[in-house]
Amino acid sequence: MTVGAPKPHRRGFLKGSLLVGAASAASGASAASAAAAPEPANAPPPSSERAHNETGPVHTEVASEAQVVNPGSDIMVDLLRQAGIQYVAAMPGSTFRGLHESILNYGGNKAPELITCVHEEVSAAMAHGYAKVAGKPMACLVHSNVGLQHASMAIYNAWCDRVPMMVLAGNELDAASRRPGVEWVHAQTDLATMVRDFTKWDDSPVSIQHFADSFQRAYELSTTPPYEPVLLVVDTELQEQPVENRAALRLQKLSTVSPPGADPAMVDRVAALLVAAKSPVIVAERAARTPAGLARMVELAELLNAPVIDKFGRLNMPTDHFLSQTFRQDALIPSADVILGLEVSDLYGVLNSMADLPIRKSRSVVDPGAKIVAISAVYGLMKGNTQDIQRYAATDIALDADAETCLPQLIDSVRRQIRPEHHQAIAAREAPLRAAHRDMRAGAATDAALSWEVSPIGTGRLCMELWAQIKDLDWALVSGASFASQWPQRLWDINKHHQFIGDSGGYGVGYNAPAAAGAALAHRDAGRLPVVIGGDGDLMILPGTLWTLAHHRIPLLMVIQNNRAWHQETMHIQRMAGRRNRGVENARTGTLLTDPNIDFAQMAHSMGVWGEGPISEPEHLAPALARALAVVKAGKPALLDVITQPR
Amino acid sequence: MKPIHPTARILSLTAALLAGGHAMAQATGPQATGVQSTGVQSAGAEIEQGHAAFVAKGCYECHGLAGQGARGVAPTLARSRLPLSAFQAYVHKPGGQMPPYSAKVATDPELEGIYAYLQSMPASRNASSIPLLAAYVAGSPGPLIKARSVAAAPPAQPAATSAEGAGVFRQNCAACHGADLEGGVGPSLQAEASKRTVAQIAAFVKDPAPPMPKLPLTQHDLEAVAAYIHGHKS
Repeated sequence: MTVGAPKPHRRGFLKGSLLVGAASAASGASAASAAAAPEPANAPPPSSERAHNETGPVHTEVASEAQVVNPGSDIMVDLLRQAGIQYVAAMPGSTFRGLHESILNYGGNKAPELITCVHEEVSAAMAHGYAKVAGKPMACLVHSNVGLQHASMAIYNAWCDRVPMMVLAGNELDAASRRPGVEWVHAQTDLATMVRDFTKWDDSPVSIQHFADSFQRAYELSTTPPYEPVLLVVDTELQEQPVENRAALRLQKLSTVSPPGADPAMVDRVAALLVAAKSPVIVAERAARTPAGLARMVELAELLNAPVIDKFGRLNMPTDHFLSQTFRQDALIPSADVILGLEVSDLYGVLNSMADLPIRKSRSVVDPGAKIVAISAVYGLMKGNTQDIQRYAATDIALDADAETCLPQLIDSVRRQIRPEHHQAIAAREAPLRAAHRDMRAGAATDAALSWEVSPIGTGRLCMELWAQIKDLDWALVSGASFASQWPQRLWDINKHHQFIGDSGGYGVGYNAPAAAGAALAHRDAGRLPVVIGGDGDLMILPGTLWTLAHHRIPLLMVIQNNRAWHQETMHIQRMAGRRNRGVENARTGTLLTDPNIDFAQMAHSMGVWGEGPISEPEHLAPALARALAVVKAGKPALLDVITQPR
Repeated sequence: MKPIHPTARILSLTAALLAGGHAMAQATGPQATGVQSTGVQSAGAEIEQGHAAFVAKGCYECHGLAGQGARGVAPTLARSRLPLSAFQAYVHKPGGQMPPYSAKVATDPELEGIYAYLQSMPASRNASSIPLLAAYVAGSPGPLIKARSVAAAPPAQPAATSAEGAGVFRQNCAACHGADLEGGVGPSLQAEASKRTVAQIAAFVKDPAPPMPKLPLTQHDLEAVAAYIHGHKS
């Protein structure tokens, strides 16, 4: 650290660097063919003249007394390493320059490795997607209030999706140490307040010992179900000042907290209801946190021959299992006599129906005598301001416990309580459910055939052409596909936990591309081939994700389901216009992404990603997918722009 | 009305219309479509105008360009057998979340044209003729995780539903009554077993009360679908 010299204004400094890099990449891309996208180049450093203009004179000689040994940020790297954090995603910012440098030079940029992002929302969303595949958090570094505001949308998604994440936010806490000007503007007395409604815990440590203790606590809380993001403010002075006596620090070991289980007597009551039920139904959203959880879900469902409605927060039931009956919810819920909800965020929405009509009325869709049971660790978590708590749903039994943790207990209790007189009823459910599963999938295939030949390409055809080419590989879908009519969940054989990680949680558009990139990073480490079916509107939020994919050589097949609109909103405006009897001719203004059409392949090229498209004819799709897959198999990202039906 | 042109022509026209984006939507409003009645113009012109109205009115936004529908959004129209008068009445005063298209917004002649366009669509390819879909129609590929039978359990009961009837239902009834008989454009049929016998259901389907259309089913299919509806267990 150069005492007395003005601190560089990192935002402007690096922006200049990026502009130089982007210009060179763009000029290269204009002549590049799709098959020969330019290798990503490192941005050149700013010229000395530019650096001088932005930062003042750069001192190349430093007095020995101005040098710092044992900076606090080295300890922070030790803590990250001890926690097993493999990656730290960041867009650079001066409030964490000390930690940034320690990651590179003290830690050797390995475990943790810095993942360079071009927006803090990309950083946080990558951490979101990564955690769902890797089963552990990664960290994202954000630059004080400006960076945290950028990251906040992705943190909210992670909160709603019950995902662990370590958010480290730089800040200059000591006002007396701030230089006049930007350092005051980029500082906050209570930085965490802007995300406190959707983080599990936060702290602003004022000493390295305090930081070490709070880091351990933050990690522990984030990784104890219900998983959630946590935030630690990382004071710049703590990072940059020396630790005078490192031996005096007490760096405690990281402990693991057993997830919350349930009262065995209550579990027995739940099991008794399930065993005695004539038509039990299991509804699961984020019940299976791990592969073991998925296996337990199958075990419970098979013991009872109980159909499972998967709300697809994670993969809770293999889609090719006959008890996976998700798309029969409208038939199953009304006829159920026991409904078991496992980590369901909106139980009210399962038990009731409320149409989008001028007068909002809800009606129960369950049998009045049905018993409702809910098991969720979220009972003890929610906050008042954030409304992802959903409408209150009355239950007959509710357990404040982690569903996956409870499953072995519940399975054991069900086994103990099944008597010979139950066998016939349980067995009798199997054949109809097998037939219904066959019919459900046959119906989906029949529906997919309806738009098989259509141009723009039907989403059913898009998904099935993709499935045909990946099904024999070690694949993983890293998007939810809800805007693609859920064709993958309806027709693909998704039977491994890592093959499906759900959606954003918070419905915050912009999630798909960066979360897929984070998930793909974890899949790269596991040697798998990830694919994402993402919308055009979604990619337009954070297109810079493409650059990170190319820069870090993260293989990912990105299929853009390009309906040239924020189509969900088109339907909303059309609904308003119809309701008001004003005609629908103007209803698409403001929701279309046309005039000009966006050239996503060129966008990909400009950031060093292989790209092809637009593909709008069905017969052109399979060969284009094959070309894109070849790129991904070679270890690089690829984007295929497919013009599709609205849904 | 019989199909008079191939799918390709419909779809190329659609693509051309869509290429215009919003401008297309404005250019094909009520004045531009100029639909009058089926009696004063050729069937082909009526279908083309109906198609233009289908796009201009934004029907395709929810129902898709091939009338294929979208899960959780809108039902398929391609297999609809509603008579014209019922179709017009439903669009003017729909159930559920579909916005009403009043006679001012979508006139009866315009809806007549849209109806003609929908009826002109050739039958879609059967899923069994598409290699990527055929296995599902023949029966799902089979669970990779085999269900374990409960120890000492007696043999499973035979299926309460007829697979044959399920296929007939899917092809002819599901578009209005829902894939699981839960209802939609038409009423729910989930409680039919408590109201009618199999024979009574078959008799109703054979000679339905309006607005339900008469379906071109063989006696064998009638009996199969009636058995399916009556025996349907959720």
